[in-house]
Amino acid sequence: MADALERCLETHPRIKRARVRASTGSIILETRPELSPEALTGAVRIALEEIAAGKTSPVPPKSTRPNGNAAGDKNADRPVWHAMPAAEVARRLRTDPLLGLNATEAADRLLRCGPNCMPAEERRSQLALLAEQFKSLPVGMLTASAVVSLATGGVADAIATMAVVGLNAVFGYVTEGQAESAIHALIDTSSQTVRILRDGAETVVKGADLVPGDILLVRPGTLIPADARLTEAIRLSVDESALTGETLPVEKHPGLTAEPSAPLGARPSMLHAGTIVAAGNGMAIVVATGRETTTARITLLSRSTERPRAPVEAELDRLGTRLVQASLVACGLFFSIGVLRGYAFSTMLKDALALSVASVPEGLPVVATTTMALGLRQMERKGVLIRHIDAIESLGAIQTICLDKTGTLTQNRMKVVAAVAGLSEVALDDGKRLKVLAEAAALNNDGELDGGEATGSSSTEHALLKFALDCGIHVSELREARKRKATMERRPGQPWMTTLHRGGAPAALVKGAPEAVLAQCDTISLPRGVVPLDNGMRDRIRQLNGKLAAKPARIIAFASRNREAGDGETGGFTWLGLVAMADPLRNGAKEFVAQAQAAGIDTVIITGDQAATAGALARDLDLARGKPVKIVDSTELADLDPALLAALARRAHVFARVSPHQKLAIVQALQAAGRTVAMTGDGLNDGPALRAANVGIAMGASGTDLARDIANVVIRDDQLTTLINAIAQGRSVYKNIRRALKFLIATNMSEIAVSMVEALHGPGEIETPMELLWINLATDVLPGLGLALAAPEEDVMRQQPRSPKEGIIPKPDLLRMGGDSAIIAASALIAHFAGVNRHGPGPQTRGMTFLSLSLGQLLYTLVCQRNDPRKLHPERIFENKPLDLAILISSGFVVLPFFVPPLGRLLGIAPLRSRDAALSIATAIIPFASVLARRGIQFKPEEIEVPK
Amino acid sequence: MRDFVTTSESVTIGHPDKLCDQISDAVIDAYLAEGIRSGVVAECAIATGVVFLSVRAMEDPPVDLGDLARSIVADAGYPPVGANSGPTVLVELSAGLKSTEEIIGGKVARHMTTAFGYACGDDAAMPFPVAAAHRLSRAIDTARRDGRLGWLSPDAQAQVAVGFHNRRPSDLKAIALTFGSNGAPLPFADAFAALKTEVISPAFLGLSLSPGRETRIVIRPLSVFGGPEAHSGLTGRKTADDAYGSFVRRGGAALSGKDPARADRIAAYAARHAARQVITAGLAGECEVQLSYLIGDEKPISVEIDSFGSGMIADSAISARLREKIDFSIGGIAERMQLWELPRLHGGRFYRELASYGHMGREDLDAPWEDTAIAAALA
Repeated sequence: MADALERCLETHPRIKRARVRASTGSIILETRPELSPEALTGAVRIALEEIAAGKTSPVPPKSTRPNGNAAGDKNADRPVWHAMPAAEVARRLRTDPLLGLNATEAADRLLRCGPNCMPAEERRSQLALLAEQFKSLPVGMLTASAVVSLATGGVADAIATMAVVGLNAVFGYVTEGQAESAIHALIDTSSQTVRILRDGAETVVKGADLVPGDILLVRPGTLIPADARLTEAIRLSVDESALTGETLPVEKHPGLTAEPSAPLGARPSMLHAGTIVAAGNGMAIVVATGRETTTARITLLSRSTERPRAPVEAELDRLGTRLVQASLVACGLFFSIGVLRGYAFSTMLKDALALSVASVPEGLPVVATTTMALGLRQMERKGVLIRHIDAIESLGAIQTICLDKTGTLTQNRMKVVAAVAGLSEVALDDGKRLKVLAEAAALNNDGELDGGEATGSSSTEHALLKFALDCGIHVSELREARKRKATMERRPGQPWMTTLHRGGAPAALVKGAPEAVLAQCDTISLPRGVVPLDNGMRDRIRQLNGKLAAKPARIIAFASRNREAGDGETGGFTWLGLVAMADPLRNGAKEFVAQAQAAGIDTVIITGDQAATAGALARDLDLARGKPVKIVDSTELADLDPALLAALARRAHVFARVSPHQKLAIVQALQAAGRTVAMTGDGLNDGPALRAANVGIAMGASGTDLARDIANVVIRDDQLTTLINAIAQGRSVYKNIRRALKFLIATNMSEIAVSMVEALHGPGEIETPMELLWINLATDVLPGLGLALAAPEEDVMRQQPRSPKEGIIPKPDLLRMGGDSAIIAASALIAHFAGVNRHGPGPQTRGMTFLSLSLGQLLYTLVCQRNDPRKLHPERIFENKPLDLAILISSGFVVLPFFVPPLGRLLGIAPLRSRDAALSIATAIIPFASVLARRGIQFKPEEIEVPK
Repeated sequence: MRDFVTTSESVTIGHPDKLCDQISDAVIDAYLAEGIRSGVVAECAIATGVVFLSVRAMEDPPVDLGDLARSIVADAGYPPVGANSGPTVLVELSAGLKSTEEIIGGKVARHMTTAFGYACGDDAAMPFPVAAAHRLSRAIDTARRDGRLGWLSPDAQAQVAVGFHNRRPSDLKAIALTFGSNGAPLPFADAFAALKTEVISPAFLGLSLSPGRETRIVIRPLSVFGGPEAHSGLTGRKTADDAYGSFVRRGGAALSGKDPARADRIAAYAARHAARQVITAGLAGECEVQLSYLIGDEKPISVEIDSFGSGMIADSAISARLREKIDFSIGGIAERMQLWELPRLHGGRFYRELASYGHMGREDLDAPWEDTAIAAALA
């Protein structure tokens, strides 16, 4: 349907490109100019009718109903808030748009409707978690083998197998339960606060306590906590990209009601949970909270209440399933060949059973989940808050990190460093000559005075207010005399703020980007009076601006006008001057850039500053490492051809003059260029970019609540070193999982190989299923976990980031694993054949094989600590204490059956004579020694892959 | 003597190549206006509406390069796409390079360089075809700016073909104007008439030749607006227009975007200056001066003159007099023409002005290489 509509619309002569998003019901059209909105809607309507009439597509007309009403027909009786006038909404919800609910009514409603939480935050019940443990394919195979054992008379085997299944499930339940609670503790957003009206007064409450009927107050940067119907709005626009994918902010008007069937993107009177206010202010009646919100309903459609899983976990699940499938096929093949060869049916069934047990990688899921959870804890101790489980892994995969200059690289403490009054630079202590400028800075300012000190608001406002105070302006008196009548905030495409004042001239003051303010001026205030602004003066101003900007500093221009004017009106201003502010770099910023670059991570700085400022900054940080600094200076990045932007973004060191809403475009462009992108941010407008980035990073101490709510990584202490540590940790979590995985697969493969060879060599030689199960339990889970706990490699931040295309086990590693498992199997088979030679097939021989194989695997764990054997240091091989402990305990499990006869009988092995045991132990050392021996041999993986 | 026809062209300030030249030279102006001798090389390219600006210097630019580029594009008459915007600028900045006396001093040639200069007895001592072409493109810009031809886009090109008899311009063979339109194109006949009265007639006012009945006049309206969105531009691609058209030999090096430490730029000015003195001194009717420098040398290894048979004395004698009277050393040229100071003396913009309508024959700019004060010493 969406495709058909796109095709149909693109046949329109004036429409260049059409994008129809079925999920949101939005249509994005790129048109040639001179096409009125009416003509556009007309074109869309005609296209829809054509499709409905079957002219372009056989889709039945019924589906032409826009499907923005995402929850579908189940909720058909839900009130259609967006189609109702505000008064009707207020009446239905029994609330007063000007007073709000009273506290008792709110408490009552909170009880009835439940807290305002997203469904993802609801926890799985403990029982569900336990039940989950039994649902996996390995458990299915083990259960099947228990059934077969039962059928063939092996009651004890069946019981033992089921006991293992139970144990495994409990173990999984405990570890995953712990991991889950750790993860849930992280994604708890109920601490977010919102401003509402209660009992007629503005109150701040927790987002979770919001109820239908509450009157929500929104301002730029508010993360809308629930669905709400607007009652008032002043130039309100909302970024709905999270919901609709529409990147430009959408304007909102309380007076407009939409058709009941209007899609999400076309409901101008509604605010939707999860979207962000881009500009303007407004009031709205909360109409739906928690799982009743549109966002929650869409989420419910696409996702169950399971906790979000990290990609590596999903990858492991797939891998595990594939392994089981492959071994099932192998077992089937093995069984058929044996039966065809005329071996006894029951023997073959038993052998096949043993093989299938050998192949189940019991430790796989537990190891990954636990590694993640432990990584989360470790990071939290170091001051890094991970808010989404997948972020931990993505942290390690970062290829490009976009650093928001303000707040990330700088201390976010602006200070005025220079001022230009009229056409000349004036010393900052010359209060007399700076009077006009300082007065403008005091009046056109959102900063507050607290006991004569500047406070609150943004750092820019703060610095400007302090500048006015330092110039000797009596700010409170001045503000009293020149009361502010109106404010036009700066907003996308209009980089200035205008204030209108009572009490004489100047009636209007404007503050903003120098070039934009200068364009509105036609006169200039000089010591000799106000004179017309000629081109020479403009050039001089630009020169001064350039000089100041190169300091580097952020430059703000001021201008005034004696008569008032509306918001849209520009021009007729008198140029007052420039104020330059600087924001000192944080300690460690330079080191951070150097470390990130050493780790193969591109660092890109995003700043609202001018190119000159950005260039100086880039050199201070040695961003280009001695090469030319590449600065993209654009005011309209979002308008660039995406392919071109992607090409530019890949090469740039600095994006200058970026307004916050363009950060999203930069992140997307880098992603389009194939990079895994991290983005740091702290500001109100960083939300969309933080969300779009693979890893959104917020600075915890100085950032805004919004940035913290949206980012999936929060650096609590604001230290850039902490961020580097977090990246290192992310990398080693992935590497550790990879190591554990390689170990588990290599050892499982060795077990399969041993069983296959034995079964093919002669009947009765194969190990018993119980024995193999014991080996798996003793040598898989604990050592796997031990491997996963390895400390980061010392050179982890000197390696290149992994390619996103690379699978969890790269091909050269797969070959190495194959080799290793062949050696483990061969060593165990030496013990086996020696045993067959001495004792013939039976418990003695099985005992020898058992000891050799299980000890061989345990020792092999030690050399799995590095992916590349060349990086193993024999003298430091026991450094990983948890691993040593795991190996010790597991060794205990291995020898246990030899000393506990009933257990030995269950496993089908007999105690060994000392020379047999010595042989087994000797063979067990072979795999370990062979890897260590290979350490000294220089080879390249490519040479292994392509033998000449 | 043989008769021949030669052509020359000129483009308006909104042509992408010329935008690049102007941006490059504006960077030079910015450095020199602040008195920074920094061995600046500024190269610029424009493609799909994006400006790529590469600046190499020992010190940081004293201006915001992004703004500078945008202001030039805006001055050329390109309306911003949206409110308060302009093209995206990709700045590649290699500042803070190790400074050496060799580079800043501008005393010796750092490359082998051959530069040509020419002068003749025509208006402004320039070859007629290129002078006429520049006058046409300037007339187009003027008419567009003051609204007489407001429908023109800032991107246009003027070409002339001139017949020569005995190396003197004898008749105007053809004129071609290519231009984009701002909005819907004018009917052809209207455009033709308007260009004839507002551009061609004023351009040839006071020149020795003017379009007659035999002159072929071609106007080529493009279907597009033109400019940097439509086609790409590059610094130094209009070297013929910058000098003498296709009338004489040329060294080929770009002039724009190099500060006076670069021999290839200032040698071209010195060669023109010398040629013009020869004409003013009455030593020849026309004169081509060739200056060749070897790497690491201060003075030219050769000062070669060709008067195309118009000399009053032997070409070798003219050459000897030039060597004797004029200081052709790299540092000397910059010194006597005040090349480092010109932007400051001209209110911050000098080289940028040269980047449109040619570097030579610019009497309107008081270019020091057009000054004929020392001609008397040659005579």
